[in-house]
Amino acid sequence: MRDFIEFISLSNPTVKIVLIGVVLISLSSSLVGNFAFLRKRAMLGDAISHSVFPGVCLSFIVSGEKDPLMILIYSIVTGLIAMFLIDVIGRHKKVKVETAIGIVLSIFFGLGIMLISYIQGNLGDAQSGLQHFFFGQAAAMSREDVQVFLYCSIIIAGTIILFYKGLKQVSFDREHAIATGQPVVLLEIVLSILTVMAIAIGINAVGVILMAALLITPASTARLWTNRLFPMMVIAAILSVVSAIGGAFISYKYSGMPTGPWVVVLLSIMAFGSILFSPKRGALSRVIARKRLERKILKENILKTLFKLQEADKEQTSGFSLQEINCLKAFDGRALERGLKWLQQEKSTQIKNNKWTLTASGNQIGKRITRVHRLWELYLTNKVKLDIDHVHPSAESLEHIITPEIERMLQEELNFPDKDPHNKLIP
Amino acid sequence: MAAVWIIAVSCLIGICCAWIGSILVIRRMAMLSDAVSHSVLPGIVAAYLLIEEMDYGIFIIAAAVTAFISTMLIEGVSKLANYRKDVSMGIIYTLLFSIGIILLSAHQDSVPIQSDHIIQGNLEMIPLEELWIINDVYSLGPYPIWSSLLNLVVVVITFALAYRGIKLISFDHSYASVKGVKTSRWNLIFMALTSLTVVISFSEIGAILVIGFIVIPPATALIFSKKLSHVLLYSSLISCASCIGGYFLARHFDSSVAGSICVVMGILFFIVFCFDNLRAKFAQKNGVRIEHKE
Amino acid sequence: MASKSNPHNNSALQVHSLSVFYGDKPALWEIDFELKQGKKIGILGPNGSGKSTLMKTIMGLIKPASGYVKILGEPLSNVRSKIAYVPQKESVDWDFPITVKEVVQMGRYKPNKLFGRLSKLDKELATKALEQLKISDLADRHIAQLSGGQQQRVFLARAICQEADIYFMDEPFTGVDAATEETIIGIIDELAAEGKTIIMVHHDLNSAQEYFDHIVMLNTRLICCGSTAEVYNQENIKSAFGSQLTILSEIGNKINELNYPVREAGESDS
Repeated sequence: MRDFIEFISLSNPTVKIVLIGVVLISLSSSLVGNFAFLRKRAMLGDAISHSVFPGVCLSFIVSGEKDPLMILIYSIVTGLIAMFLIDVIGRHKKVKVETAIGIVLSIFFGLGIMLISYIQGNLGDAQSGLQHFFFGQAAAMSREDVQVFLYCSIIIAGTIILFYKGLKQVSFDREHAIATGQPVVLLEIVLSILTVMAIAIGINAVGVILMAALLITPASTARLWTNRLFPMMVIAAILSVVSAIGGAFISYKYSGMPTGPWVVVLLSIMAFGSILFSPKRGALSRVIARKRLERKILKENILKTLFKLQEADKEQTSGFSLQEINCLKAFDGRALERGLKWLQQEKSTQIKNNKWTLTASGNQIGKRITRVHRLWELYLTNKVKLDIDHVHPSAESLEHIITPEIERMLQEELNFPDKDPHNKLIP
Repeated sequence: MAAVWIIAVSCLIGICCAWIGSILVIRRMAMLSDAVSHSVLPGIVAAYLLIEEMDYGIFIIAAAVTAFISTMLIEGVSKLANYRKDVSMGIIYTLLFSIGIILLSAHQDSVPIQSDHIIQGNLEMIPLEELWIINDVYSLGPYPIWSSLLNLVVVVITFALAYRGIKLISFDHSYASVKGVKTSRWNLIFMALTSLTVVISFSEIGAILVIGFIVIPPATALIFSKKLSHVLLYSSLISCASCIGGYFLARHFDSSVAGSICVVMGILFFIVFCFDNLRAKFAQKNGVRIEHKE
Repeated sequence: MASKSNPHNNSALQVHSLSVFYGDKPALWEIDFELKQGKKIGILGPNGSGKSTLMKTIMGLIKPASGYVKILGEPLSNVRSKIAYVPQKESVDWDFPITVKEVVQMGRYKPNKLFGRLSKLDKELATKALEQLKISDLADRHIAQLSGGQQQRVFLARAICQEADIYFMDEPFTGVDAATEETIIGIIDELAAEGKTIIMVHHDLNSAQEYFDHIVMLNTRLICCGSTAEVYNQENIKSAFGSQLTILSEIGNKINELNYPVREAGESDS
């Protein structure tokens, strides 16, 4: 804990530079990543980040040193060329876009590999330090580097704010954006430049291979929590900042631990957490919802059965035994007892001398389910024109998901009927 | 002799990748091989840490197991979170690769893997590798040549036996399943074959350039071929030509062999691509329908 | 089973209480009908009425939420060799590196014998099918070089050389020229004359009366099923091509969203 406070207070100037650098990088790539994800361009970002590598090498060969601005310019140019080539190749009838991405990625990276091995062999490996761009080397960031990152982040964030509305439309519905007269081509070019820019600074921290994670993972995780763009961008930004700080801290605390891969691992942990636990789309919440639905179905079935028993037998007032209930509708033995107990706790049923009866509130639910069941049967026979002997199974299942609104629609559509197709009263 | 070994291994790998790649490219699954080739790293590092005496066989098995796990993870995340395949690929491969790098940096002394080789490939090291020596006398050459040869034999036999099935399923999946073809079983076999090829190629040409070997030659051949068998044949030829050309290019610049091979593949692709585009333009001008001649 | 013991039962297709809710495909509600052998049958309905969903469900490509299908009185898996399927043209990638002849020969592939070579008979039948559809001269073309009508003929030739008893066709007339439509109709008439059954998803109401002896009308639920003379009338057409029932689609969405079973657990249809 003391380490962390020391770390986060930025008292150490080296730590300060690294931390600010990594946070800026993560933030700007998560911003553009949202649009890449929504525009279904996840793999394009991956390809571009591999493709900027020869640009990095080229800048070194030309200028003979590692100048952050030169590296940035060269990698942006190479990245844009790669993007352009993917577009051109992907338009050919017999080359699909996915293939074009693979082709450009490997050619450019192959070229990068050639250049770096050439540099290692001929220009002296020691001072180049270019292999840092494979996995990133956050610890080696300099003040000048971070300055460049800062300018880029400001440009990225500023442009996104400026074009927010247009970018949103283009990402959600390109056709509609064209129809409403948005300058779609311009916006797409802007987005491409921003993406390449984010990648070009990002490879300093995580390297060309893991860059895809900084783009895709925060956006796809945030998507699990919200359906709207602005909250999604905020969540993605928070996730990436948290993992950037975490990654930098781990690398600060344990010497030899790389920052970039840890940022990615932390991001992925949050992604998996969200996949399992996010309230709307998480796997666990879906399981819980399913269980809850099953429980609701069981309870409603019991109430309905009791209601029908009461309906059939007017004189019976002392209630019904488990056997009698089971006679009308077959329940799994233990499920029936369990369900009755839940209902008792909710004060929907009561028991006297081993005989069950409905309370007023239970009666109401039982009545509603029976009503919905019979309405649905009538709807299927009258409107969908099914045979009478075919309607029961469907009603038996769907009675549980017919909402009060749909019930009202049924009533209106069927003109507030009082008898179902089997000539039973609709309660 | 060194040149022969390097060219032989790269050609063998090249042909395997070209054949598997033809189907992957046609079925638009090429990026999967990229994800798999990145994902095997943690498995290999873990194997080095767990098993004291590593040999080439264990290396391949560890990689294959990890490859399988990563495809399952990609599938699972896609289903659970309702993601497109490429998104879950991006998430999974970066995670697994990161874990690999972290393990590697934590145990730099005990794991004899150089991170550069994972990226740049290892082709130039082949002649220096351990030789397979029988009875202490007869040398059968370095191990990679035998593993890639075995891989090629498996791929060729599978294609030869099941050529019609592969063609039917790749062309018209629903028609095949109406006919009663067990498509899921076929897909599984094909995925296994892909993993094997990716794993064996990975250790020689590096994690990233596998995608180049898998995508570029088939994509080039697809532009001018009208039969699957032609695609297989021409992509193999393109692959071998690039391997030879790439080797000499690398010698000339004193650069990475695998990288140079990819660059040559790319040059061949662009020649064919531009030629085809020009011909299409020319044909259009003359009002002729585009005919693909061989 | 019934058909084996009872040769007089000439049912071609039975669809029983079939409900389908599959992703974003149009839903089907409790479809129930039976068709006899040796007829030309059209499945009609507006866009989004679930015609193709029904066809794909019959072909076992989509799993129904409830109900079942029997072909020739038996489940699909027992009669695969007796049926031929012509999928929608758009279902395949026409840039696939394959020639016309190879596609047609696929009709002769046996699912359990994908390893060997094709016999001489197989090749002859494929050649005959090419001739029947008047595309022999295109045999060695790459499929990307064909027009829409020619592509459809290739698919039909592939089905014909299967020598099946029942032909299932999913919208074979979309995007084809008049000459192709005429050729296909000629072949369908020939097949019907040989006592084969043709079941076809069709979108054009006007030609339906002329093409089919039997009509099934759909609009997410079954509107009618019967001989053309009986059911081809304004009333049925109006209810099929009129608007969909809002409550049905409302509940359909809900079922889809919750992945909700349309039958109670433990209750099955068959």
